[in-house]
Amino acid sequence: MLKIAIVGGGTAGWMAAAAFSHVFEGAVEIILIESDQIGTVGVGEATIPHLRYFNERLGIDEHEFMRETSATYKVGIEFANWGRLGESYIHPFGNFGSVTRGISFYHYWLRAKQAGFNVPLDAFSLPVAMAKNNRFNYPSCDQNSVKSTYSYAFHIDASRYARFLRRYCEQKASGARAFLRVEGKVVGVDRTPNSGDIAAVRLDSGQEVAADYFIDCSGFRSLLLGDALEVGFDDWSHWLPCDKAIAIPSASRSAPPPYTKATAHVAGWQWKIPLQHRVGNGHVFSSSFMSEDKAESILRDHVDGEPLAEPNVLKFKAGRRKVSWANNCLAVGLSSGFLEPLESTSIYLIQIAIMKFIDLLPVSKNSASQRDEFNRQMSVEYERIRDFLILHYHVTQREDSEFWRYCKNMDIPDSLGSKMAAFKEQAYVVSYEQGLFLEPSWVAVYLGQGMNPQSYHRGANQLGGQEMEHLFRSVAGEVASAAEAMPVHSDIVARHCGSSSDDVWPKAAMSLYGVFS
Amino acid sequence: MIKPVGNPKIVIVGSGIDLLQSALAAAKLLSFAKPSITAIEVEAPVKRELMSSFSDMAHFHSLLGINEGAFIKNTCSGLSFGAELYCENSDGFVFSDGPYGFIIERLGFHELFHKVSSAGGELKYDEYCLSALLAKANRVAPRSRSVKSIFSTVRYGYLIQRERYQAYLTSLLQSIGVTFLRAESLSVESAASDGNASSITQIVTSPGLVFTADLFIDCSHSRALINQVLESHHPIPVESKYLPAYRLDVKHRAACEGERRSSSRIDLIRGGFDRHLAHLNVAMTESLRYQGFDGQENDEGLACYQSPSMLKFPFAGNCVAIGAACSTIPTPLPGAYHLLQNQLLLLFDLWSGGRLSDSSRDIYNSFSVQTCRHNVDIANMLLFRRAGSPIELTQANRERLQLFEASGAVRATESAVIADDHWVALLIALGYRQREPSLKSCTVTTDVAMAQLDKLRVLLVKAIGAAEPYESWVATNISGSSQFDTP
Repeated sequence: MLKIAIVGGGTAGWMAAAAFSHVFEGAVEIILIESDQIGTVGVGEATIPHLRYFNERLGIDEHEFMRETSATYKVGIEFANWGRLGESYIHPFGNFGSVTRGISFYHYWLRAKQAGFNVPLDAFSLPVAMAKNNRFNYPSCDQNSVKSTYSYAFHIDASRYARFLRRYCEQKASGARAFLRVEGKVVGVDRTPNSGDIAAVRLDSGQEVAADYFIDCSGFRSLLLGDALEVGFDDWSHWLPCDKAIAIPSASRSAPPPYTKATAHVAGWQWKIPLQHRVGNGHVFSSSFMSEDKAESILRDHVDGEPLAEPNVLKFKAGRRKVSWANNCLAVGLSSGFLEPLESTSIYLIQIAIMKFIDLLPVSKNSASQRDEFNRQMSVEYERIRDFLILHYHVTQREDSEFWRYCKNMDIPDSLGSKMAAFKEQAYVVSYEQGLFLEPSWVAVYLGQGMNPQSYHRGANQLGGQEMEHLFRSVAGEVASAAEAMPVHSDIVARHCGSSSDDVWPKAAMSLYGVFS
Repeated sequence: MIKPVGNPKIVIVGSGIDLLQSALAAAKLLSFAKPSITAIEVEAPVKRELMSSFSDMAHFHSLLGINEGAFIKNTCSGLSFGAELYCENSDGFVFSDGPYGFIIERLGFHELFHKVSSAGGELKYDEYCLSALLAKANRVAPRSRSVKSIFSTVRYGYLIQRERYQAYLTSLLQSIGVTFLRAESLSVESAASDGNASSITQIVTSPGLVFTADLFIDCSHSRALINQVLESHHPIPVESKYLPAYRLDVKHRAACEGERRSSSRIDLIRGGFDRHLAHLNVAMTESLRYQGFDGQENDEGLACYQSPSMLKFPFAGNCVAIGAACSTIPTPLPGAYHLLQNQLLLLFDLWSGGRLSDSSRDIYNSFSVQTCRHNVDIANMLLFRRAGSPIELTQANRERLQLFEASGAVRATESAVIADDHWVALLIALGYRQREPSLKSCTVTTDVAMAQLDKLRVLLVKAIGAAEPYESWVATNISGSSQFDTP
């Protein structure tokens, strides 16, 4: 029987263990090595809708998941002070308006804006209205309804999610020998002389764990892929200069809203993630532009509720290992790379690595072609998310600090430059099939950050003035009334976490933008 | 500040279907901008009487507002549910762009198929695709709107008589006011402006007419009459070790009794392939032979061979090269018009009649080169299988084949000419097999896989039984008076 050893028991480790246990059932022996003495980073308290697909594949009851992880719903992210101080916008998990006569809605909006129309694009997005009005309900499966135009994710306690998945694995394995958790710290790695593969890891207890494949979920330390196999690191910190984060959980002072808040500060930004039992707060900043003390002081000034713990400082470097799969070792999560949680992509990157590995895992160990394909696909995923994150920093009118002047004037990757040029020149969003963030996301951030295209698609001229007015009025009206008719977010969270909810959650999709994509 | 612009002026130079489809796409996709369109025909259309397409042509037509029933009636076009591929000593395989089988929990159908056939099951992969079965059975079924119906998986292209199609497109264009001209010769003038890449300033035709435009579309096939005068004219030859120069011969004859089929046939032979089409009373064989096999290269002189190449900058200045003016790479699958149609759709998505932008050119050029490279991969894979000579696989094909043979996994490709799953079908058609299953397929037992395949077979057999014989369909929809009714 093929044996897979997972090193590390944080979010990445337990997601990998749960997925392998479920998909391979008894066909693979899985060992997870973790130490209670080593804390986990607990990445990804804010998630994106793809996590629902992962949970669904595992057969997880969504209401139970919410109860166990103290989850709240999430329909987007509010970005405050990014394009300009005092301004904010929401990047929603859904569309703006609908395609009309073959032309995306935002082109009509751009045309109207030129003529003096001053209603923000936000007014035509249901998830934005839900966020602003603190409402939530499941999206509809009726494709003709405005209520089918969004998807949703969760804010979760990542540590509780890891514990939840641990129980899931243990229940799956009960009575079988397919899953084993081993307590211990990895103190050494033995490699096979000829192939360079990892033969076994040695634990502080003296135990040796041999396996066919090793999954490195050791976090920033990257014990196997980085240290043992010496896979190099592509440093992207010149594009994403933030390199530290200070996290402080706080007590909730008000009902949780259904969105994450990302507020830009002088040399970085602050997250605010509302859970059922507390609020997650953190300040991501660049140590080249701000001291740790100053960063902590800013964070404390902006935390609403009473702090529930001492600040936890994380150091990181934006970038990724040159490959995520080398020899017989696959790195998942932080051991593979780090992109700051600005767009809540950490758990997505874990999930997608696990899913692609499952798709490609061969029966035999001779896996060069699968490895190459996996690495190629993961490069695309990382680089496309990277570009999207850089966009938030680079497209800004802020010049109030050295940090923002740097971001505004820095060189950017060509892959992002060409996308920005297309939007700047003609409001065209470059599309792609592999990777995250499609047209609605790019539109939200381009326009939200204050990029004004020089032209729009002339197809937007095909509606007359009255038709345009009717279009805007009807979309905005549908959006507003649909949001208004929804339950208050905290009420529906309480209902779904209660023991008697009959509500049936919709089928999940690997998409940000609704239940049909 | 968004500046208003006037009605765009478009001049299209070329011939045949490339010219006509470009003019119609410009007229329909830019209708909101009320473009002024002039089509200048500079050479007689290619004398290939029959052509076939895959299902993307139906999609293209629908975007241009062409009613399918009227199109079929007016052009006497038949339906094509796939291409029957024949290698030496093989039973043949129908390559269709409809789905093969189904996916269970991210487990591709070919994985189930592999599991059952490895256990000794005598299965044919193309017997799990409804479109392919329709082609084999020489039957016709329309595509259903209901996703729950097995007929929703039907995909078909057309068998078209070129002259009728050209006449039909011409009539559509004339009805919407597109200006047509015939020019014996023309001169193209270009100039560079303010350090920018050169653009076309005007075209002068032999009767002395002068044309200026916001956009010139070059549909002059391999002559690339407009693009070639630009400084940026830069053909990229395909390395002959991947795809040698080729010669194309077309022969027509009267169709024999019973020859008319709802598919085309491609025989992969040493050094090339023969494509056979039969529709109504005409049959056509298109023979494509690559240079360098069995010393054939000089039998009729090198001049008759065409080197496969693609333009690096098909969109430069105010001129865009389309279809065969952009690429001379033969495209046995999925058909010669795939590149042309997708270029047109992209062009008029990028350019809506306003200012031409560098980003539009970059996106168009990148897409075109990528699509051409995919076409090289397809032709290279077909040729390699039957080459019997030192043809090498392209890097992408090497990786694709290794990955497939190692585990049945599919190489994910951006903007692919044929979808990833159809690469699997093509590789199976060419006789390649995965050597071992992926690990995740081990979790499905052979019995379960067999039961799933049996269940699907029953559905498909029933569906074929309900489909209409092709001859009957022809009699009703082409010879008769009723119109084909499809979604």
